Amino acid sequence: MRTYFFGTVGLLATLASSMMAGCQNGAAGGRSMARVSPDVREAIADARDRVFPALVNVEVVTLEYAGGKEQKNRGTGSGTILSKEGYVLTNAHVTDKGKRFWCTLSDKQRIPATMVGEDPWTDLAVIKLDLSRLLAGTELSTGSLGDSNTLTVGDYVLAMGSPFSLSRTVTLGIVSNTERVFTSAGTGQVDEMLLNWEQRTGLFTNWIQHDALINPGNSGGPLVNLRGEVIGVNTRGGSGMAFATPSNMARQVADALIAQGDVKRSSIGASFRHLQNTGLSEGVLVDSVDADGPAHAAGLRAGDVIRQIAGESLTVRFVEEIPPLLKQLADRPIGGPVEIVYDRGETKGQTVTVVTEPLRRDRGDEQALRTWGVTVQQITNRMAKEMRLSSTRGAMISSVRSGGPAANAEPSLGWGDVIVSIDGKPLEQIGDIVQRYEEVDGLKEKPEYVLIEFERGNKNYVTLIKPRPEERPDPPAELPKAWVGIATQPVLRNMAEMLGHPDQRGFRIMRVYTGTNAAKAGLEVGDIVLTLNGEKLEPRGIQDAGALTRAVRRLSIDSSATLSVLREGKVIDVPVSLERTRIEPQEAARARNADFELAVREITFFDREDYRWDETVSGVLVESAEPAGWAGLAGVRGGDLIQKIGDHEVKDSASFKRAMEQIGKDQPGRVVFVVFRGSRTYFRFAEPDWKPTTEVEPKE
Amino acid sequence: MNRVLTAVAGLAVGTSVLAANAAATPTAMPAPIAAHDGEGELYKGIIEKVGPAMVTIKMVLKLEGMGDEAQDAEVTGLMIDPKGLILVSNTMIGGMMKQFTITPTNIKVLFDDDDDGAEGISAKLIARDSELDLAWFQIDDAKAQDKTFKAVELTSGAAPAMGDTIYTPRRLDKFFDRVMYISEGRVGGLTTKPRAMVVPSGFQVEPGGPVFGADGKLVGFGAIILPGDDDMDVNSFREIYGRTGPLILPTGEIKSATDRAKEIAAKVPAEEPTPAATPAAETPAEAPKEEPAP
Repeated sequence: MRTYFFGTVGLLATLASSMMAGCQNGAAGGRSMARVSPDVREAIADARDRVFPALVNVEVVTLEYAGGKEQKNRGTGSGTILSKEGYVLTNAHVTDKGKRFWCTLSDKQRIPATMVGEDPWTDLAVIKLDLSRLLAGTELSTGSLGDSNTLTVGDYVLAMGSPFSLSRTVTLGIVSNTERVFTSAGTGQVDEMLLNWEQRTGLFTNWIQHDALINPGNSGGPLVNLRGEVIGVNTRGGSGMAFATPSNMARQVADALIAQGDVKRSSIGASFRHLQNTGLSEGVLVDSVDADGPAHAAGLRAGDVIRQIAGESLTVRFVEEIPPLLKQLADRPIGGPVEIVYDRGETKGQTVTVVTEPLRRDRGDEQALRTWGVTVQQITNRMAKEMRLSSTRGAMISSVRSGGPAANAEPSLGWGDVIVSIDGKPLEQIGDIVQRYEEVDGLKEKPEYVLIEFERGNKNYVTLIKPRPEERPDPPAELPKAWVGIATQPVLRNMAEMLGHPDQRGFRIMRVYTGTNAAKAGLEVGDIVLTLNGEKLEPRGIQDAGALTRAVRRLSIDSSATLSVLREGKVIDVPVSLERTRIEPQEAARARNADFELAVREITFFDREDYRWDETVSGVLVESAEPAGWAGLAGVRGGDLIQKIGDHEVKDSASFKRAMEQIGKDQPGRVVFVVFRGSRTYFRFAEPDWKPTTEVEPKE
Repeated sequence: MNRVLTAVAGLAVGTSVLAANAAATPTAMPAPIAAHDGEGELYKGIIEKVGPAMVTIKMVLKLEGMGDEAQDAEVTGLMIDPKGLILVSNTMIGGMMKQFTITPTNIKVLFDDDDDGAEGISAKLIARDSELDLAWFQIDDAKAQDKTFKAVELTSGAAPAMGDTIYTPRRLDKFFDRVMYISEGRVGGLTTKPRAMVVPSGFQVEPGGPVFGADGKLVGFGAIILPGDDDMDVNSFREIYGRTGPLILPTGEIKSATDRAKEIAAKVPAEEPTPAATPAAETPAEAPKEEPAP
């Protein structure tokens, strides 16, 4: 569930700002619902009815990269249908790293969707409903984006969405501030917000702050005015405060995403500071200049004071004026000239022409190279700067699988290493390494080693990795030993006295396992075993509880033993054929299916005993089902007994493998798992997505 | 500053410093214990005999049913059969945690005379005995199909008695090139329940570490015997072994378990040699005969 909530520092800064805003804009303070007129109530109901039908709950399966492998996760958020074509506006942090999407409409239809485009800089995204999956006759309702510039502090607003996945929820509040920016405590400068730790976001945004309650799951949902117009996209929140991206920005971004899949922006490679506390009265201070950026190339330096941009004079006195300035520069044509007039010290009115470059994302794409046991990431300019790399050449290792070939290499590969060549072939970017990996992985005869050249710090290393698939042998078997199918407890002196036979200590049978030689021999619960093959068993304390079992284990399997037991006051000899110890759950045969991300094992004797399953119960026990895997999404979970998959009866690991193999060949759109859980069966419907992925687990 | 330097020097040449101090203050410090006659030869003899059979096993331990959790591991094992049967502590390969299934994978056996960077030869875990803290690996690499390995025979001498001197050879970490050394102690106690074991005194035995008597015969192996399902109301193993470390499981019990493991090993087929595989042309090393150490 995705909605950004603030950390302590950000929250304190925000609280401080909010208190100030409250002083400046105190008009809303005296209102209460008791004074809401019937007209307003009607307006709320109208606004609700206009937008509710266009509100969707967004479900996402994400693909993340950690531990040297891909990892699926689930997330939810909210969205608004923008058009009859099925475009849905939501947050980029809802769709971030998403691979599969579903939207639940207001009429409860759950429809798959596909990615149209994401804009992490504004935290907005557009996905598109698969209209072919709508029930016949469905008329899509759409939300209408209003003009967020008309909002004023104190206006009523409605937040709609799916807090905690509770779909179609609406809350009411007022606008608290229309030009909120987040500032770092102390410096008063715009706080750099990050999307998933690596990507800057919100640089161009003056947020709509309001107090309609939002919670995780509201992200991407509409903020609605009383005219029933969407005037914001709820994006962040915490401690009763909520922050929405204005609809005017959302409209511009959504249009670009729908038209071209991304938003093209310019950069001059400089950052700015407002004039408050600087002693300056006009212009804007250049706070820093990227050494390899266009501004630097044109001659601008940190400390310069810009007076004009493209012929327009400007003065940025307050921090709230920074985002519009950044947006103004970002909206200029990429590669176009921008004339800038600036002062440097006593030299006033100098002019430079800066040629803009594209604003590139901070975070590079990632890929998993499974049989090498690493994930790699494209190096962006920002990553190169932050990691003090000499260039963006190569691909950075973003995680390593413990025990995998890369971790076992000597020297081993680790996070932050930059792979610059493979087998002597230089790599420019992540695509090159993926291509080389796929070439090696696709070879029938794998090379013994792959030579990797990598950079760590300022050193250039070479190492060898052995490209090999992960081994998955069956769990090791316990050494078989002799066993009698009974469970016992020691009868100590005091207990023997209470049971009426003070001189006869031994082991009382608590359970006789069904179908065992012990049961066939006629041993009964309540019998007290006094001797084993004539040797007296006299437990002295509870620490001797396992003594009988240990004594039996020292005998030969398939031999016989005589137990003298006390039963109803008489001692009788019971000859028992010993048998081998039964397989424990840890030793049971196992099977895995990479497509459905499911690991199962066979039922053991002790499972049957514990669950009271007789021989008519069959299937395989689920050891793990990845929550965001196909089976996990369907609701299959650890501990379930899978009895049937599609038309295939499942009785053991072999029949499970056969069933999954056939399903892998047929690739149906829906697979039904019949599982036994607790005391009843359940039907679980999986919807596989059979598209190939880069990461392919080697077939066993 | 001088104090620091003295401490560092003492750390580097501890024995010499102790001797020098003893000489400087003869009345305050006891005289250093002189090595027993022939003790050095005994140490060398154990190392020469056991060293080639004490192999290093590298593996990846996989936690079943919990995603792809895995961890690298390196343990010392003792070759107990010239055909490539290796004994290790089950505890050291994750066998102590009964609630989880931990499976060793990518198993490679490294030998003393391997070159740097050698990958070792592959082996399989054929059985484990959770009750006795034992596990057996069988070399199954096609490259080593006909090879004979130096092994230590599982025969024991006289039953250990209280106060007997005992020795355990160990390997240092990879950082020190896995060099062998000997620790010496005495039999500090003998248990009978839940089974007969030797309590070491004066030193700690490693799980799976072989222990020899003064006659050079195998006394047993370091083992962490844990309460089983049938044991009731027994404290955790940490408390059980808190004072002593692992105890020593006598050789006799290990031998009978190993005989059963060998039956399983006999059924493990070796990998088919591939054309690329090195033929087993190396000179087979003769299994050392069980001889008393000098």
